[in-house]
Amino acid sequence: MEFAAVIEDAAGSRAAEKNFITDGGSVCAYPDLPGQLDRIAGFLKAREIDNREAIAVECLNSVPGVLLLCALLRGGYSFLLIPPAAGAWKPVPRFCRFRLTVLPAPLGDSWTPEAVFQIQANPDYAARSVPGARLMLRTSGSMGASKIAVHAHSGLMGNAGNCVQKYGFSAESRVAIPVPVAHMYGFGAALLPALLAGASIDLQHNTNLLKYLDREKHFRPTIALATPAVCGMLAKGYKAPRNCYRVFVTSGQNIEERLFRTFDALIGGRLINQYGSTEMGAISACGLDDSLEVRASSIGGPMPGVSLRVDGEANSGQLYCRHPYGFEGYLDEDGAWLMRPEPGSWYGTGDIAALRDDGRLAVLGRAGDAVNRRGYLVTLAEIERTMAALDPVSEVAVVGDARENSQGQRVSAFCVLRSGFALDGEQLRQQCRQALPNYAIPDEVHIVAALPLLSSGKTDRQRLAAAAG
Amino acid sequence: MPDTIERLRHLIAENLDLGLTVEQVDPGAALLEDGLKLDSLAIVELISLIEETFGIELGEDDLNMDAFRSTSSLAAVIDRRVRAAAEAA
Repeated sequence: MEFAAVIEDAAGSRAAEKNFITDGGSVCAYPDLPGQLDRIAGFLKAREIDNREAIAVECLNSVPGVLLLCALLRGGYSFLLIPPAAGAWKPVPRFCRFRLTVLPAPLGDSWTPEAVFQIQANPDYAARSVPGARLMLRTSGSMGASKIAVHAHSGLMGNAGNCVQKYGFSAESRVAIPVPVAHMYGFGAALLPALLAGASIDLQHNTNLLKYLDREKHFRPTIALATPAVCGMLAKGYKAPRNCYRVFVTSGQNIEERLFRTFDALIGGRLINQYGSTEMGAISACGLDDSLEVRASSIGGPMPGVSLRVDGEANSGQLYCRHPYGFEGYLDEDGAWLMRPEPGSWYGTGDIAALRDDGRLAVLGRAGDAVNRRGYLVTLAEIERTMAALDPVSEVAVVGDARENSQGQRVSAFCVLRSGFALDGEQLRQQCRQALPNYAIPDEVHIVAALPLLSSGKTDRQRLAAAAG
Repeated sequence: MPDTIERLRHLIAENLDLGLTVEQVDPGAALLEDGLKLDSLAIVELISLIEETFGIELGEDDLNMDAFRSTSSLAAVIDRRVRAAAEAA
């Protein structure tokens, strides 16, 4: 289905006539969508921004931001979506003629696009024709090595259709989006499916516990798409269970099983884990009819039309995916193709997964993160996850080492203990025996007061690897 | 109340790893986006610290942007909870 038809249908639908998009400040009702989009289209046209040249869009989670994205989709524009940068003027790719920034301004009755959308010509612009009606997303934050994944609008619609089907989006749904719509997850698995279904949408920019609770109280979401960090925040902040959610989706393989179970209980057993990527969109997810055991430990089965394959011995190895709505390839900053897979070819996700006896998949970690132990491939993330579930452990990081011992590559664990626990590294190492196969037990376990952090807040693994050596 | 504000200022400066001094945590200074910029993690941590330090449990009604506007607004909420706990005891 074309996006223009989606908007027309939703705006004219009886089921959606009372539905709206809000960000807590501004509101746009579905019947008003076409008029608002016409206005933005006229504004772009007047500034000679047409769909023959690519543009970059810095978009925050706001009603004006979403209206701009809708206008660009409807108009068949090719645009690179970038998350809001905190003030810094990061260069946009040379093939983008303009940079449009959505300003944090409300959408009053007398709003003007001029006051909400800032347009800057790209000083580095070098004309290059890129295919039309495409969405582009950078895959890495580091400037030099970043690649730009390209999606056809039609592929995005297919991806969104899968999410509608899997999560049950409908015009009755009220969808909370506390994750950035400038990323594939927020855009492809939350915003587009909600629009496709004509559902009411509550956008949250830079969510925090207080904001989320306030908006939840007023909006009463039935579907939320969040991250493990949001689940962790709410698990600590909820003073009472919730019964409003029909489904609560978290994304990424990194949700700890303990947190999964705690939060799942708080939202009435409605938590499911989605697995996806910038390149492929939503790949796999559990269903609501899956048992807690399955939901807490797997990414379920593939989305409609998606095939998954695990390459390796003993049903565990690198995960490959064939996706009818996957990306078309990577562009570089000049707009030249870096890589363009054959349509319908297998795509290596770079993740290590295990195909379980029940046919469900469990993602064990990144392929670069795997070590060979007595002939078995084990990911450090898998050891970390298992150790994190041990009672005495509050935080844990596991690092590998190129040196080998009789077990294979050496593995060291660094643990912070929960308060009230006093044991040494060797005692904790012995406790690992309950939970891990022998070959996966770290060679050394160090108890530390805190894990070293990088300025980004992530664990400084290099420092730990150096300490291990 | 002034005592609660002082304790809260020290709690924020010394126990939240934000690199703030007690002087920076002015009683009137905004705690969130427009001021000291307590982020999502820091807010959750501050709630736990308050509950531990003052021996109270904050209700969800207390967890809103108004209550967390500044140390003085937060101190008012804490005092109310402390009084309620004392009356119940």
